[in-house]
Amino acid sequence: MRSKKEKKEIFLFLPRKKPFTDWSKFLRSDFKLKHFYKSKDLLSALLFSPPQAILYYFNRDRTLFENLLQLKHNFNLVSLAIILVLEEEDLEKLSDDRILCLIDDIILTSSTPLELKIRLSLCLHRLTRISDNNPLTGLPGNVSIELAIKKALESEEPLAIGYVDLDNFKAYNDIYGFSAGDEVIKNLARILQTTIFEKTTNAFLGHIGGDDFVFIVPLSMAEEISKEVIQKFNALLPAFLSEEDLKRGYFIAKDRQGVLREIPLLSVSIALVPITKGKFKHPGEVAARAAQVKSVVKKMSGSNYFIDRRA
Amino acid sequence: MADPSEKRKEVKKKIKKLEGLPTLPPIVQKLNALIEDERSSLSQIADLIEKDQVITTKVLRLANSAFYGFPRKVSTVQQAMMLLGINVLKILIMTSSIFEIISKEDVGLWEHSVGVAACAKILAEMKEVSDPQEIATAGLLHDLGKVVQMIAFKEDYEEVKRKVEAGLSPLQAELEVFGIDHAEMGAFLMMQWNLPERLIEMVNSHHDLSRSKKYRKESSLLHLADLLVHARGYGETTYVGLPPFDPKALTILKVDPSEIKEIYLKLEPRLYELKFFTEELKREMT
Amino acid sequence: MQRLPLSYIRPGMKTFEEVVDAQGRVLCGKGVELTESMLQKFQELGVSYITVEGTPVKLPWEKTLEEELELLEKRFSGVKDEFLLHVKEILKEVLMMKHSSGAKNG
Repeated sequence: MRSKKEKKEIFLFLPRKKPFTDWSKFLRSDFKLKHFYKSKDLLSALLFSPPQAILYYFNRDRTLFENLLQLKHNFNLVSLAIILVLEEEDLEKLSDDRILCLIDDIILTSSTPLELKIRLSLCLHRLTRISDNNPLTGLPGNVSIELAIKKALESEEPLAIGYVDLDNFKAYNDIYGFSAGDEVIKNLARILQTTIFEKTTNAFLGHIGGDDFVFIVPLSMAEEISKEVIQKFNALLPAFLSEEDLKRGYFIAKDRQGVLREIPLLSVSIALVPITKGKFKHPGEVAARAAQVKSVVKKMSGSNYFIDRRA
Repeated sequence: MADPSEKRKEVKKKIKKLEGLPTLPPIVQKLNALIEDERSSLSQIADLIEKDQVITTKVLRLANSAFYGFPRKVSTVQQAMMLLGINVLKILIMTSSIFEIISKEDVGLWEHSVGVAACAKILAEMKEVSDPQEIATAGLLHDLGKVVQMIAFKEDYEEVKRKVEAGLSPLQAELEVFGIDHAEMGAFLMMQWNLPERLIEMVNSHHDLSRSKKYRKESSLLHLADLLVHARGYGETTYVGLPPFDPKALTILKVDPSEIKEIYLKLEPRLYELKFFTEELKREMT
Repeated sequence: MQRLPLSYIRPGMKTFEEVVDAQGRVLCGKGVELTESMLQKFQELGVSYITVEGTPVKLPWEKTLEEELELLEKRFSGVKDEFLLHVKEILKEVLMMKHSSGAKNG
């Protein structure tokens, strides 16, 4: 019988010497520790059974470190704490913002084991407190989205804001249950993530909630990205539907009046609003324009996108 | 000799702990080169991965990982790549291990698997079985259990080879040494790694149709594809002759003997093309 | 004629069939002598195989009809089942077809 709390798992990528060996001994009683000395082993373990935190010695294997950050970003592993272990003289190397926004804390090699343990626990607590990121997908939530849109309105480069949601999602949830619905959302998030960020790093992807997502990309790529997302979603959709529904080509579910109806299968709708500097003053204006575009897209059957061409 | 049912339990326990499988060095090299080359398309990359059962399994394992909330239904490399993306794929390939030493007959297993994948796809298209690409994937993975034996049970694997040389049938030798055959071993590993049910059942029953419940047509298809490729002599495995054939496969799949010619006529050009790849592999392995 | 992967094709070889890209679009007709620049283009467009005139490349793994038939007999030695014997006959037929017309494309 499990009466004690599950210990959190920590991966350690530290040199086999002091003070790290002392740190290990100290942490062992409160955490489940796994030591790694080869980058392949760490990456492999990270891919298939990620821990709650990684203690990473900054000077060992920079390529591996890059890959770690890549994976964290790629899978939106918000709850994976990456703690850099540094020598004092390495502090000045840390001015890279890109690293700073993906790691969670730093600890100097001169710290005591007790200090380390407290910092580690604080980190883990802090991460569970972060409320802005969507708990299902790990993507930024409304606060970050509003900030990103504000920034986009000031951009010199023409951008497009895309509003994504699913058609007939309620029927899907009613028939297949909320767990299945959650899976669809998580996988839509994956598709958005891989499609957008493989084309450009100059982009933003957020999750408003439920089946609503927002992305910001360079205007020149917006339609291409939308097309690809739709193509991938349609290609993967069969994995989420039963054989009967696939064969029939529609759901049978009760509508809001409680009447049994034939409802079209899940599809994705994307409303694109081009942004140039000075076109909109406020995120609210963008949302209003997007709502109008959205009503057009929703009327189209199947998965579609529509780009607003008004000034 | 150890009690077979004890040995069976032991084998399953060891498979549960398996962290990964190695593959052939030239495949990893080619894959890395392809990924680094900006001109290569995703389908070219998928095409190469689909010639290797080990990396295919790895990719499917990640794309079906409960941790990332993927559905347990991703059954082809293309689907997996849509979810994982090229960056994760790069890292995945980076973590691949390779065989340090491997014998020539063992390399023949790769050739055989690629041949069965091609034959399975042709049969699926001919008999209008849904998702021919998924069926091809099952064809590719059907002898995964043998790779498990090669890597996790080296000595036992050698003993199986010895028994076969002494005249015992390969399946019989496996049961004596392992208490479990390669079909079940492969299926068990695939189950541990969360691969889709349809693939697992097909692999599990490819030598014994009675093991299939839900996917009888597909399992019969794989059973037939395996036989036809062995009969053609494409790729070496522990079988010098032919694996046991269950004629029920023909009735379940509704294949008439007169259709065999058409199947081979479609298969032959495909095997010819694939030979270039497998011969290059063999060359680079020696 | 011989069907070869792009990496085996050399300038000077003549096409026996149209050259098609990964999408199935025709890039080049038959009876055309291939140049270095054409081959480069083909590579960029994802061409996998080209069928050329003659048999310019000796493929070390190709077996003669006799060798194939001998191996076939070995594989089927001791086989008595009707269906399997039928498979053997079909294979013989297919192998003979393959080696007869001098066709080297399977």
